[in-house]
Amino acid sequence: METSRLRKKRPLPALLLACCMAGSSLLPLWAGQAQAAEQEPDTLRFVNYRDVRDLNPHLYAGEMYAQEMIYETLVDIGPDGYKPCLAESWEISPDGKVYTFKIRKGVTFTDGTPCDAYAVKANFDAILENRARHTWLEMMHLLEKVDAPDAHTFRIFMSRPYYPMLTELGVTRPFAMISPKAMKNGSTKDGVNAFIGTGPYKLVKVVTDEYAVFEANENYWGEKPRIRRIVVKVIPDNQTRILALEKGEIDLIWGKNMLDADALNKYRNSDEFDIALSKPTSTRQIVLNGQNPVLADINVRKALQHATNRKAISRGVFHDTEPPADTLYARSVPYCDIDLAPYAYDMKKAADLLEKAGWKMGDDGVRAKDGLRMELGLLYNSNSVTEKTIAEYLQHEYGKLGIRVSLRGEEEQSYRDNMKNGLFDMIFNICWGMPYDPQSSMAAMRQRVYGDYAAQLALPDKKEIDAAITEILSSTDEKRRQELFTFALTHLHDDAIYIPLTYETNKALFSSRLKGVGFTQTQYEVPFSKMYFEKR
Amino acid sequence: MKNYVIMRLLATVPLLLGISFLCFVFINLIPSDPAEVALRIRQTPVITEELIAQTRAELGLDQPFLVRYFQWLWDCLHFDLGVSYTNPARTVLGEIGRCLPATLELAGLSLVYVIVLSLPIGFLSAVYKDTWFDRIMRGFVFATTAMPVYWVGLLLIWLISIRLDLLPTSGYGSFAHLILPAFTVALSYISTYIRLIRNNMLENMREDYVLYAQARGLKQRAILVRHILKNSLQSCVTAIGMSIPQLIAGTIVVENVFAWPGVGRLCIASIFNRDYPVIQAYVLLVGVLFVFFNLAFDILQYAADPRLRERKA
Amino acid sequence: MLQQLFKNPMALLCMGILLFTALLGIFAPWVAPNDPYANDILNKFAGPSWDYPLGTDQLGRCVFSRMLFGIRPTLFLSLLTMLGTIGLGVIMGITAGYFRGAVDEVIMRVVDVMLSFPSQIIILAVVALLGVDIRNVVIASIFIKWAWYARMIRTATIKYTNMNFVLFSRSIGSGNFYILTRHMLPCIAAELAVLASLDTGWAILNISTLSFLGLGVQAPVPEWGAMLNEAKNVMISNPEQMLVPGIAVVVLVGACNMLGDCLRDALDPKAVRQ
Repeated sequence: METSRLRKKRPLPALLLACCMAGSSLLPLWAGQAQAAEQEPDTLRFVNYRDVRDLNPHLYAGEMYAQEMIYETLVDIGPDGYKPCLAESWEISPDGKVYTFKIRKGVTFTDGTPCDAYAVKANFDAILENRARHTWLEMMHLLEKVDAPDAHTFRIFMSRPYYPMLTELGVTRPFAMISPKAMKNGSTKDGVNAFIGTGPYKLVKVVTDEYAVFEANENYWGEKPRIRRIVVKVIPDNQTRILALEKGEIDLIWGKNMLDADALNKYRNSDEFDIALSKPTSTRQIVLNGQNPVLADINVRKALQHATNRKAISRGVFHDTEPPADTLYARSVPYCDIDLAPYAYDMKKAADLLEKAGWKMGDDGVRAKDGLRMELGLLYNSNSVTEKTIAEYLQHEYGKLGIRVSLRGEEEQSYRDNMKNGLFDMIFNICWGMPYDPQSSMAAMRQRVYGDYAAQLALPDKKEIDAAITEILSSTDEKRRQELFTFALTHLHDDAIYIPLTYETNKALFSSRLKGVGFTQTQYEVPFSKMYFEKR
Repeated sequence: MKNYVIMRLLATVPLLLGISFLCFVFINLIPSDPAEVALRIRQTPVITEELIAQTRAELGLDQPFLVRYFQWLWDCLHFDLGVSYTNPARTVLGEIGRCLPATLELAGLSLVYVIVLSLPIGFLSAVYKDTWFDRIMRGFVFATTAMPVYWVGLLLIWLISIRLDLLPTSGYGSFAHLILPAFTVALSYISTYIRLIRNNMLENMREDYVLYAQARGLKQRAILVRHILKNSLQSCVTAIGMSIPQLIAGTIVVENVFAWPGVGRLCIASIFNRDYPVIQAYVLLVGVLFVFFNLAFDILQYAADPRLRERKA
Repeated sequence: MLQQLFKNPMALLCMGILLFTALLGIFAPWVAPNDPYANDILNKFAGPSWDYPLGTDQLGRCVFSRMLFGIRPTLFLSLLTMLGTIGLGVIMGITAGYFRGAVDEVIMRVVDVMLSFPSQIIILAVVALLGVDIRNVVIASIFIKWAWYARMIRTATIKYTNMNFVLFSRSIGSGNFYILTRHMLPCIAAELAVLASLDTGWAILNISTLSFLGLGVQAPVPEWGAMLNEAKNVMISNPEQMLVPGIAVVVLVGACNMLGDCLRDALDPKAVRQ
């Protein structure tokens, strides 16, 4: 009616569409410019999945790669043993109880404060003030006192000899040195005023959850890094990180869980990007809780071991980027080159084991014994895509055997809480890795710190294993140590309480212009100092 | 007019009380003991029954429920929303304050999209009713209302960012980062408003005053723009204004798809981390925003529309 | 009204789609070519084949079978949500509208508070409180949506309460319950049907969205939103994974919306859209 009268020919719709199109074709031009402006020479654009957070080196809330860039420790752990770092040299008293360090001269923190023995002592005092927080390191129980008789001598007194002492002093935290001026009244347990260390880089800017900027420390005492500036972007998502790399927004992705194998596989034969894989750093495993009435039966645990197809996981989930794991620690780990018979993948054997142990198949496809049904929960960290995939795979595999597995994914914090308190049947875990393995992670098995304690609690030989570990730590005889390690590791292997899956590796994917990408003994240290851009 | 504003203002008081009460009840329903949680925040290594009782008294948790509610309300009015459970170094207000700007940017640009796209399209659809343009637009409206927002986001990322490589895939930074997520947020609202404006225009076209204007011999264009559009716009602007808090709340899904560091992502992360104070603050924030925008645009509409005033009188 | 509906080809098509989907969901164990949980990790991301009509996912599971089984949570939980919502909304709305007075006042103030939150926020809050689980999503959806129904049904009830046939029924001594169930419910049933079919679409979107965010259906149960979440992880290497579940959601939600529109037109010829 009226509307029809109103309708006249007007080119408005066409005009509108034209405007939209013109607008959208301008967009890319302008977006491209914005990206080009970001790029600067001498700048490496790195990526991490979360913010650097609190980089206080004496606590545990910061990102380790950033702490490694800013701070240094007394000694370094190299491929062939300990290397001097802030300590030029050291001596151990014949009874193994007194450590005397000669502190390197002329080293200063980036705020100008000298890093002498007094500064080192101030750091140790701050760490020891919060001793209870660090007892996961065995040496904390044995450390009696520290002193600095002069500006270049620092001493540590122990109550007993402790062989992994230098290793624990060399790990990222808590024994990294922060400028005493940055402490709050000589204390660090309630936070610090600034993140100031002696390392090759200093932190210049942080925008929470967006990026952090590091610049080379002009007064660094060691070899100065060739890359002067490092911008670390925060990109939480796997896929987005790879896209960012592909579009040239970042130059390097580096880490254990920063890349999924499918994506990595795509770049195997790429000209633009290179891949690097480290040696095994740690073991991806499932911990079985021996206190669970079903898992208390060693035959069930052994059946689960035989029902786990590690090769399929290595190939199917990881495209062979993580080799299958037969034992709790890889043979390349110190003291772990032991002959242990692996639990081979054999479904028939697994079924036989269960059958013989009296677990009979029920009508609903779930085995049971004396009214106890084989129903187990498998807890994984919901932040990890890989763990979820493996969990779903194993759920089906174990299901074929008559074991009903229910999956539960939890956020990192509650996942860790559950692990610590033993509130699990089966749980994904990753051992501490180099350089903590095997001594520190095994020392921790004796206390309720991680899941291992709860899992092992019901083992009949738990006491013997613990005793062996305790003796290892204070033994100064290399041969005796090896004997004890062999004893403890063999028992743990025979108890079948850990299902090793694969050996985790550090993976790097980077622009092929970037050279010198590698790995060090410490799994969290990104060796930026060795990297450089190829001249075009 | 004055009376109406006062009345509306008074009416929001019980509503705000209701919302705050709901938020307070919410945090008091959580299964864990607040005193125990507080101890854990302070990193107390061993938590004993004694310590818990002591902390309860300290935090005033032994007070009656209503006393605690008013205490909490008082703190809220002073912008003291407590401390994050997962990251005790951060206050809830600080967390919200850190993330809110990003969400406001996103919601702001979405609003621009909504206005810039839905007004002309709705207008043209009504004017060119049943032409190819109208049909296409109706198809578009129908399709977008049936599409899950997150899927649209994924498809846009794949098409625009991956295949065509025109815009960044996700994250926060330049204006280019904002374009796709804002469009995704806007999309479902655009279709709602296109339909609203179109129907409004068509209704207005049938009103007597249009016939009268035509009888007076006014030009078609003048009738369309000065009478019909003007009348339709009024109700549409109100509707759009009232949907602003909806827009802010609606960013949750999109922020998670595009890794946009706003309050929506904060909220989802807090749900996974069981960081109740943050969730509580977020719910309170959105509730209050909702009430205020409703109030503001109600009054605006009342001021702009003489018919409403007469009816009340 | 129903006759009119059956004459409308669009309505028939929508009902056909919904019915067909529901049947596929019910008979999924017989229709599906593979076990939706059976994985073959060495055959992941395979293309379509006779064995796997829509290919396989990141664990080498049959996508087609997972789609079929995914109908169950998606469609049936939406319907459950709607039933719960309508049930609660009808009870509250009729109570408020029929008895008026203080009962009405209390219910309507609660409704006001409920309606002053965006629904998505309330759902998230409830899920946060009760824990991440699909049951809680359903409870949360009912908890937020009933207020809309209560308000609408209250208005309708007030309108009908003063109609002659209700007054007559009361004068001949019918009890409250009899009047409510025999007279009121049939009167508002038609309006309910429109709202419900439109909202079923909303419920489907809602459940799939929450599952996508990881707050709804948990792995490894097949659900379309959760499948899209998994597809998101491989968006670059295998983008085809996100096609099928997305299209399925659109078709199902579109059918619900269209059916709602048709129902409205059939119900009220005056309101047939311009």
